[in-house]
Amino acid sequence: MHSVIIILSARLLCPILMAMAIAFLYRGHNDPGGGFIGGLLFTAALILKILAIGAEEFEKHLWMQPKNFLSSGLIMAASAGIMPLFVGKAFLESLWFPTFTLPILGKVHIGSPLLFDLGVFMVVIGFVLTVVIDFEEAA
Amino acid sequence: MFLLLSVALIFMAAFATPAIARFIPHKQRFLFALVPATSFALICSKASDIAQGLAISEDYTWIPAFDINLNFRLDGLSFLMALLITGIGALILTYASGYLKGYEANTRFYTIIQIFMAAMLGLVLSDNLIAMFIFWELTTVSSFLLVGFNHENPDARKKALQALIVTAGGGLAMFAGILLLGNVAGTYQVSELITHAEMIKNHKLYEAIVILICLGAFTKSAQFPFHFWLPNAMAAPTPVSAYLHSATMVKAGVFLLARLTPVLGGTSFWLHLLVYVGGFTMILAASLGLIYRDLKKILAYSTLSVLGIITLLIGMGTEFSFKAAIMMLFAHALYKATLFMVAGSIDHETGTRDITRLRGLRKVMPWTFAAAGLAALSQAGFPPFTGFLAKEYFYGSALDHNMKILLISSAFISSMFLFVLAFKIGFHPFLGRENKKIHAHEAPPTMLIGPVTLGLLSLLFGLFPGPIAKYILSPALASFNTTFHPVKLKLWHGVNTALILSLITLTCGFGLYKLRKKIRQNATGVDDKLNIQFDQSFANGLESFIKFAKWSTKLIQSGSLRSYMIITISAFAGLLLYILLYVGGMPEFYKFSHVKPITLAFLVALAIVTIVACTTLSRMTALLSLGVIGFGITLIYMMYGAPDLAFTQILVETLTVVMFMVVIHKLPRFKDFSTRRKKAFDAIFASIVGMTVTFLVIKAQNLSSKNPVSQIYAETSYLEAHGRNVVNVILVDFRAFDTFGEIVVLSIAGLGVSLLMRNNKKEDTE
Repeated sequence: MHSVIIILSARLLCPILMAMAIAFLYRGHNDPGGGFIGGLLFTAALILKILAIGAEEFEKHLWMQPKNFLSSGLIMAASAGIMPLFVGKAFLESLWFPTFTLPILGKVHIGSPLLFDLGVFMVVIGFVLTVVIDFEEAA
Repeated sequence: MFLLLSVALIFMAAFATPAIARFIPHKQRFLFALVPATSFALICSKASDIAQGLAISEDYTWIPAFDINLNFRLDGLSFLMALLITGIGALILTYASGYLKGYEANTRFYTIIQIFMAAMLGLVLSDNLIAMFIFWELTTVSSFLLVGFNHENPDARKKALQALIVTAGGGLAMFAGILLLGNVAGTYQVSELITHAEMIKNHKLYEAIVILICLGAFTKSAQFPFHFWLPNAMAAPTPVSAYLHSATMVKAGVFLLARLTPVLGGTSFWLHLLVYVGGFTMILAASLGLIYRDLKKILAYSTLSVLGIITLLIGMGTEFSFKAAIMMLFAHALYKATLFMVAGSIDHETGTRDITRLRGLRKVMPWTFAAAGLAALSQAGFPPFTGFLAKEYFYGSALDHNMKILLISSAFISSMFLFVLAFKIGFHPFLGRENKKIHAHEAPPTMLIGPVTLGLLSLLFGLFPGPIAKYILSPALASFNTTFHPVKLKLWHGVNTALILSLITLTCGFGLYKLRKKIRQNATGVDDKLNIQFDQSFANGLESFIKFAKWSTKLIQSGSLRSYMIITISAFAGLLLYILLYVGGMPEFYKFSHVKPITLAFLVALAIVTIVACTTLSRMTALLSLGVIGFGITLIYMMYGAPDLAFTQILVETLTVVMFMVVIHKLPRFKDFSTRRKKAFDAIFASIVGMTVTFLVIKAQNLSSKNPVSQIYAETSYLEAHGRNVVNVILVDFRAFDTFGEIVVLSIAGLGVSLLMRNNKKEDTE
């Protein structure tokens, strides 16, 4: 019953959406975006895929269990919190690398908030995936 | 550094155990004893300081904002406890390597018992009551795992759970007591609390504090009416009982009482509470012990009795009684650990713990007999053993006290019974004619080192009490009195009342021992009745609690989505209404002329869609209208310049609609269940809630703060957090802790949904 239109559009749209999601995640600190939005966008892409090929098939392609998204996200966020403790700062206080320049991105300023945001990103993906896959399979 | 090290060392060893145990063959596992032995040596190295009445402190800040710190403090009392924990711990681990040789799961045993050991050491070394409480609970949890070590056995599980509920429940009461104490005095440091002692004792919360803290101590040290868990905890493997139920965990309660004596003690309330509870426990337990046949049960009751004695002695509150308490604690740890190990060896080598079947083991188990005999003589109070010294002080302090008659008579009864219990274990199984049905052999060397060493120490320290007086008694006494002065300890005090009482006790005890069989036979059944009553009332209590939980769950979680929504939303709206009234009632409304016509038109359109969503009979229409509403709200965000919110809203709406779509065609056909009345109620309810929210939002616009927090965020966002997107900076930096909590909740919710769905699926397939 899978529609060819959805399958084809998923094939085209998914990579674009994912790339956008990552871009949103990265630029979140200065422009609209961030881990939550990026994560939702990323899951939108994944859900499109699920609708196209079904949850069972999708799970075969998935390189990581949805629950592991949750746990790895939490670990990232927690480590972004714990790292500052080692240099005498408070829990979750931000740490920054010195700014450096990359070809396309321009000036890059990376620090522990980005890791934290990545954690949020992962948790959001993990949550929606867990719920959607279970719904889809149970139904 | 060295106090932290001595605790951390054992913790690290515990966590490394699962990884390294596979490289150590079962025969060499006594090597684990090296860890507590090292800590023992570390603590011993401070003996000369302790002997001069000095205390060694180490402070590590942990959560200074709440006055919670790791303040380790080694004074006389904690020195004594630390030596017992690490010293006996090393011997027990050696013993366990022999006892548990056949067990598959013995790695687990080593891991948990080392965690317990470290926690116990942390407990006695902590000067901060909160840190102490954390270690305290850690001992409770690890002891639960140890008592229920044979977890395939439902009986062991049940008894472990009982011990856990009793001690953890008491622990919570104690926690409340500690918090009260901290609030009253403004500190959690015991060494500082002592300086506020007078103020605390005159405070109106004093009685409450004492009762709560004593609940913790009494449950942990198994005082009446919480005594029943200890005999039941004998379901544990014997090395566990030998360690937890003789020298360490059960002593934590009396340790706490001793520790807080300078803070809370010396009032008549304290005196009566401790003396009556302790005194009653000591007599009840000692007499109950007479009727048992199981070696470990007998040991458990005699332990209870001694714990009662120590509680009583601490409660009496004279210098003499403190000395007696310290000596009793010390002597008991030595002989009781020995006797437990002996009982374990007998069980291990003969396969039974029933004393009616055990006779004449002296020939096959000579070394075990030697250890048992020494320890039993010490418990019975024969000179020149340490147990004799302890009993002399016990009688001495009773004679010295103004509650003389009561104290002496109860001391006499319990000592006499303890004599019988000691002989029942130390001599009865070894003397007499051999039981041909039992094929016994001597325990392996690993299982002899512990009991023989401790048994000999019971004798040696009694013969040469000098070092005990210098390194243990005098410094530990200083922990009670807060002033240090050296105390002498002599074996021979000349002929005095205490000595005469001692001799009478020994004679009567021996007479009673001869009658032991008659007593047991006449009293058969009494024990069952008594114990079953306690067990039964505990089980009943537990059952009615579960019933209550079920009832309340049914009440709140009726299973009707409608009532959940009503409860949740009315709670939410109620709070909002309260806030609305709190900030001054109705808001000033905007004039409609202030609103742009296009916005107004837009809002009207949204309202129409909302009405459609509420009234339609098609699920699909309802769903799509909800989507339209969501996207409409997104547009409003865009109009007012909130791109982040708009983004989020649009994505959430999309995903929500998609998720609904996934399940919608699997739902049964739409049916109208609600009556007219229900619908009317829902409509009114929804309108009220909606209006409340609207009013509050408009009110929030009316109220303008002079220094809105948003301004501070906006100003510092780029300067301090290096980000221009204030919303995101708030999420991941300023209020990252909140976000962290949220993603944890999100993860748990995800797992919960998954579990629910999986469960349903399982039921379907079955």
